[in-house]
Amino acid sequence: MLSDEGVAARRRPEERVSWPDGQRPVDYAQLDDEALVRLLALRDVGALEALYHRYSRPVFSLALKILGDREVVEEVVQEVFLRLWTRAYGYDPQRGKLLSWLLTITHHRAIDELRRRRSQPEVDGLREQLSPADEPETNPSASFAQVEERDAVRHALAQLPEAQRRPIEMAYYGGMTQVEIAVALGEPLGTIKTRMRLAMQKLRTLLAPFDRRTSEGSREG
Amino acid sequence: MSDVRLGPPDEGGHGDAAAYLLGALSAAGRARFESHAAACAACLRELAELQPVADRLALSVPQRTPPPDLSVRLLARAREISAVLPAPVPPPVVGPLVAPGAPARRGVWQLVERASGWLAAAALLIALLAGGYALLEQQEFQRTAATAAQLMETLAIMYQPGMVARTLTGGEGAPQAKGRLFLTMDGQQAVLMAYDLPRLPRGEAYQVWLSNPDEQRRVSGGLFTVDDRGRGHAIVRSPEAFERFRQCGVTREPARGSPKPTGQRVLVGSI
Repeated sequence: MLSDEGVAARRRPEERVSWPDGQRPVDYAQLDDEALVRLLALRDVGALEALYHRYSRPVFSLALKILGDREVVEEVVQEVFLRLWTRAYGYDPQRGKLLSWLLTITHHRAIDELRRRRSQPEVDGLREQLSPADEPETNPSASFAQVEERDAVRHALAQLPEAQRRPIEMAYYGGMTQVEIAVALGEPLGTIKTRMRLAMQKLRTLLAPFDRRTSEGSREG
Repeated sequence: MSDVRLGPPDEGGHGDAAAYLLGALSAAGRARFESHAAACAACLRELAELQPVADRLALSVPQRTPPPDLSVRLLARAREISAVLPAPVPPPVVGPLVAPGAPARRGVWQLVERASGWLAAAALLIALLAGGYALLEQQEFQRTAATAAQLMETLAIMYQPGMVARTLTGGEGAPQAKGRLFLTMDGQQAVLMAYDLPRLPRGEAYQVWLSNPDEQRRVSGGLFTVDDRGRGHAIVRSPEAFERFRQCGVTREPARGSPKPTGQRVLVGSI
């Protein structure tokens, strides 16, 4: 797991436990993602509820960051989890973690909605608008490790050269395509592709210590 | 400034894993890359390497708590969808949560056990039951395949971009009935879900109508029936975009449908 978000949520004591249709009690909070997804395929609403409680915060937060409009964001979050509900067969745990799958769908859906809603991307002041750097962590229940890891991502982004960081922010948080970014920055498309690739590889290197820490924490936990 | 818009849409090809993960491809480029990467070991490897970075970008945003009622609405919608979907089929994976064996097959073996004293009769019985079971299994498979195809079409309509939901209320023929119509205004297919409609005798069906009183136009959108609980759903097909119509209604008609409404309205709503 890349973040301890899911692990922490799984241990949350207040997580609700549903008893489907009067059958034997199932402690959904104790089930891992793969088991819950199998239950989804059997139309177990309790499993959906458990996964929602486990992952709705990161899904909601990402969509809100990109779209801003809470009403639209709620629609997107519903779509993401209903897609999980109706296409549980399509999720293959061998191909990636469920949280990654949910975040990817959320990101694609949010930027599609963003692109649909705007005709011209706003480039001026994009740095302030898009970067999470100046936004304080307001979640009182976030663990120290979670806050520290988020700070590390912001710090890693800040370490990138401006020419590499801007395309990343314009794409990931601003929903701009690489073609739009190339036009906006007046650079050839190939240059933008290369910069985005280099930036991602550099971020991977900068954030590698957290991968090790996460895996060690998982083993200990 | 170089105008890359004049160049070819060089998107979604080999080496675009980073752009894909950053959401920097157009919808067409994204589909192109997914198709390419499925058969490209290098791109799959790069995706696997960089996916954690994309995840961290997603998780680095300030975490906000969704409104409490969102989960209530989500679960209600999930139940609503399940109510009109066919019975679940166990997923094709081996594990303790997959129900083994079908009740019908156990029934066959119990019957065979009871007839164990009459070997010849049992052999004949087994042959007959096996043949019958195979036929039932084949018919069940065909029904499941047909249902799955309809389900896929239903989902494809319900989850297309720009989908909106319209509420239908009970008409004079069924004041307690309610329904929802899921559509895109520029589309020609919609999903209708109906609840609390009266059960129908053989030879009757509910017929969907799309109309525009201003233009004095009305077309049929299809037929459907309901289950024992008065629930039904239909894929509504329109000859033109839904934005050309203003109202949707449902009436009770002969099973083969009518060229114009003859029964009382049971559902009605605005498009």
